[in-house]
Formats: sequence, C-alpha cells, structure tokens
Amino acid sequence: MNSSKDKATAEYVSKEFRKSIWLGTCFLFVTLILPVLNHFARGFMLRSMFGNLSVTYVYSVLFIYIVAWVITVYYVLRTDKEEEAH
Amino acid sequence: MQQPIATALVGVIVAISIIVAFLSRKYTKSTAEFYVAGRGISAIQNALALSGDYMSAASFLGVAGLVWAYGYDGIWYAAGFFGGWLVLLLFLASPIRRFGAYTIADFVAGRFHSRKLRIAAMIGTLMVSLFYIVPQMVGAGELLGLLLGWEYVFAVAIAGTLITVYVVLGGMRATTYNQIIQCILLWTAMFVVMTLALGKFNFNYSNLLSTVKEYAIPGRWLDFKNSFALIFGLVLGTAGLPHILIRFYTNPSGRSARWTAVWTLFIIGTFYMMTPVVGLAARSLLGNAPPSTNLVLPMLAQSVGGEWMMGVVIAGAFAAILSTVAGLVIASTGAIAHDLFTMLVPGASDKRQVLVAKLTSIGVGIVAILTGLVFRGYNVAFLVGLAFAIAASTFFPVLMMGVWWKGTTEKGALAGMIVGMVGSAVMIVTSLLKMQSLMNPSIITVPAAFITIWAVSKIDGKTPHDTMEFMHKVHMPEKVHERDNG
Repeated sequence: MNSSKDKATAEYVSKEFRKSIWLGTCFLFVTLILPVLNHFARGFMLRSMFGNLSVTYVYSVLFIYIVAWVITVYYVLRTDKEEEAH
Repeated sequence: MQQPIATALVGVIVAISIIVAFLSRKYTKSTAEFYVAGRGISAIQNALALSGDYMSAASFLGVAGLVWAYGYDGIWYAAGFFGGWLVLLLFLASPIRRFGAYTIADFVAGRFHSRKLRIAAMIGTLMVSLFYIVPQMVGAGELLGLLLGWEYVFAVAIAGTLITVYVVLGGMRATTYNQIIQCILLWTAMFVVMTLALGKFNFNYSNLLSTVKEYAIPGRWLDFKNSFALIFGLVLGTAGLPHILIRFYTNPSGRSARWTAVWTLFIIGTFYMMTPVVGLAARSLLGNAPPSTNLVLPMLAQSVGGEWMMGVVIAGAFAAILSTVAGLVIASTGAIAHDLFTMLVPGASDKRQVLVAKLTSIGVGIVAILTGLVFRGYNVAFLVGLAFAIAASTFFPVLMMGVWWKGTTEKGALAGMIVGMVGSAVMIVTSLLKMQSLMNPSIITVPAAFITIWAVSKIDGKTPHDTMEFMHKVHMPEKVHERDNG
C-alpha cells in the first residue's frame, strides 16, 4: 500500500476509534456507576421516584436501556452519514 | 403425559424446525452457504435470528427466576446481557463483517498470519461453546422432564437430535430461519405473560412493587464487589461469544452488520425490560411456591393464563434451547471442521469441507447430548455466567486490540489470549473450590489480558507486514473498497 493510502486509513481508524471509545465509555460509565451508587449513595438511590419505583429501580430497568438506544441510534446514523460522505 | 397442550405445542416447534431444515437443504452445498448462509441474510432477519440465538434458556427462564428469588439483584443479569450488545456494535460488528471469514479463528489467524493463534482461538471457541451448551442441555432435560413428564435422558436426546438434524440438513440458513421463528415465539410469550401478570395489578407497575417492596432493593444476593464484577463480565462477555460473532459474517456488508446490532438491541432490550416485571409478579402472586428458579415463568404463566399459556411458555423455553444450541453447534463445527480440518488438509475441495462439516455437526450433537447427561443437576445460570467470563477474557481483548491497535503483534495477541483463557479458567476453578470469593473473574482477567497484549507487543515490536492493509479492509467503508477495485 502506498503511504498516502496508509495515512488516510490511519486517520479514518483514529477518528472512528475516538467516536467509539467516547460513546462506549459513556455507556460503561452509566452502567458500572450503578453498583457504585447503590453502595455509596444508597439513601439517594432508594428514594421514591414514581410511586413505589425507586431511583435505582428506574435506573436499572429503564434508564440504562434508554441510554443504550440513544447511543445506538446516534452512532449508526452518524457512521452511515460519514461513510456516505467518504 | 402431564401437559397435553404443552406437549402438542412442543411437537409443533419440532415439526416446524424439521420442515424449515428440509426446505433449506439445497443451501448447504458450499462452505459459504453452510457456515454463513451465503452472506445473504438481511439486517432485520439477522437481528431476529441473533436475538433468538442469544436469548437462551438462561434469559427466558433464568432471569425471571433470579428476579423472583433475589429481587433487584437478578436484574443485573438482564442489564448485563443487554449492555454487551452496545459494546459489540461500537467496536466489533462492522470490522468483523468486513473481514469476511467464517470463524473467529479465521479472523485472528488472518490478522496475524499465525497457526498458533488459529489453534488457540479454536480451543477458546470450543471451551466457550461447551460451557454454553452444557447448561442448555441440562435445562432442556430438567424442564421437559419436570413439566412434560419426559425422562431426563429422553428429553436431552430429543433436543440434541433435533438440533443436529436441522443443522446438518440446512446449515446456517435453516438455523437462521428457525431462530427467527423461535425469537418471535420467545418474545411474544414473554410479552403475553407480562401483560397478563400486570393485569393482576391493574396495569400499574407501582402497585406491583408495593406488594414486593423488600425485593425491589439491591443487596439481597450480591455484594458490591460481585455485582460490579458480574455486570462487567456480562457486558464484555457478549462481545466475545463465538456463536454471536460469527452471525455477523452472514450480513451482506459492514453497514448491514451495524443495523443488525441496532435491531437486536431493540428486540432484546424490550425483552429484558419485561423480565423484572415477570419475576416480581411471580414473587407477589406465587410466593415461595415454585420449587426452582427455572420453573417460575411456566408456573406464573399457568397462574395468570391457564394451561394454554403454560404450554406456550414451555414451547418458548424449548425454542430458546433449540435456537441457542443450534448456534453453538455451528460455531463448534466451524472450529473443528473449518479451522482444524483446513489446517490439517490444506486445499481440500469445498464439497469435502461441507461433508466434514456435516459429520462434525453430528459429532458435536452427540457431545452435546453426552455432556447434558453427565452434567445433570448443575446450576444452569451459573454455568452460562462462566461461559461469558471465558469469552470476555479470551476473545474480547484480542479482538479489540487486533481490530483497533496497529501495534498489536502475533506474540502479544497469543500471550493475551492465553492469559485470558487460562486466567479465567483458574479463577473459576478457585472460586468453585471456595479459595476466593469473586464469582465472575472477568474484572481481573480482562484487564490482565489487555495489559499482556500491550506489553508483549511493545517488547516484541514485530507487527505483521500487512497491518495497514488489514486496517484498510476492516475499517474503510464499502464504497472505498469499490473504488479501490475500480
């Protein structure tokens, strides 16, 4: 492969990695912070949010899923757009 | 026969599976058809098949059962099983498809041109698949035995034989179509049970929780360390499961692979969101009546929907087992008949490779039946968790580093894979022997594998000569490849 092609590939890979690692870190943070909050901020996490649904319950059965779906749609639409423009 | 409706519905599932396999038999004449369905499965079809493949007995019966038994702590499994898909989408789905091989061993061997890595990946695939097959077969035997009155040996033999027949007859295409049907059945069964159960609480989630308040708080089962380790292992383990990763090869393009992951995230996400409702409703409505966690969902179905609903759930559980084991049989067959055979007999004709693949599928089916008989009585959810731990430690680090870091070398990848595989196995054995208290070892073995790959690669410094060509192939959009090819 020639060096200009290598350079273009390296730049593209780097850009893709930054995007994936940023979104992946956001999701892992949102997921892995839950046991930490349950342990260190138990009082707050057990507070009622909607009726008998506590903060930690809503977080684990709803919030994690919504965050994942938002990240998913954002990532795929952006990647499709970038590939189209490439 | 204890449950005539359930037995009839299981019979329908068996008949449909065989018919689909029979109609797909003409699509197993080449290795590309047998292993990856000619790479012609659309994104939505693949998402349904992947969801069917992924939602095993552990997901269908196990998660609701764990929520019934331990309340909130059982929900970790649902979140972990789901979360792994995002990691898979962000880091591996497109590159794996663009590489365009048949197995995980193909991928690592192609990246590093290494026979040793091919063998290590083959061993890893078989280890993970075996750990995953055993609980499915044990689940099939116990579930059908308890609910339909079948002998354990008979139930395991029926499930194993049926899966083997339809994999041998129809390869990946029949497996895909069967998994689609099974996914729809599983999801619908869970939805109907959840709706009927919520109806008992005036369709008010808060009313349901008011009856089981003490089960809606964390800490009944897992302490901080183990809940953190469990979710870490489940999230990263998904991205290392061979039977899931190889399904991405069946997509026509990298873009299609991404959309497959998107649809899968929606299908399995909505499925896992239903499991806590079902588990807690079972706790509220059934109390301590279920004799085991695996029977919670069928008993709840009977309680809220009568014999018919119970029959649908039992048929759904059987479908879950069939679809998952079929995916594992294909993955294991690829490891032996493709990875090993083509290494031992280079240049074997396509026809001969397909024949070997079919014979291997029969062999794997027999092993699945035998292991199901040997491991009778073992805890199903625990074994699945171990499969995730081995997958996360063995494959996820080497795939991530191989795909994204051009500095990865053959020695680094091999060392990382060995550290992950052996480390997770040692940690699991020491945990079983009560020598340490960490239930899921991934939190230690995954970082250890990453560090090993990085350190050994830095010391070694001998990157493959075509690393940039590989990066170009797996990362650049299809349009660029089309331009390259004129």
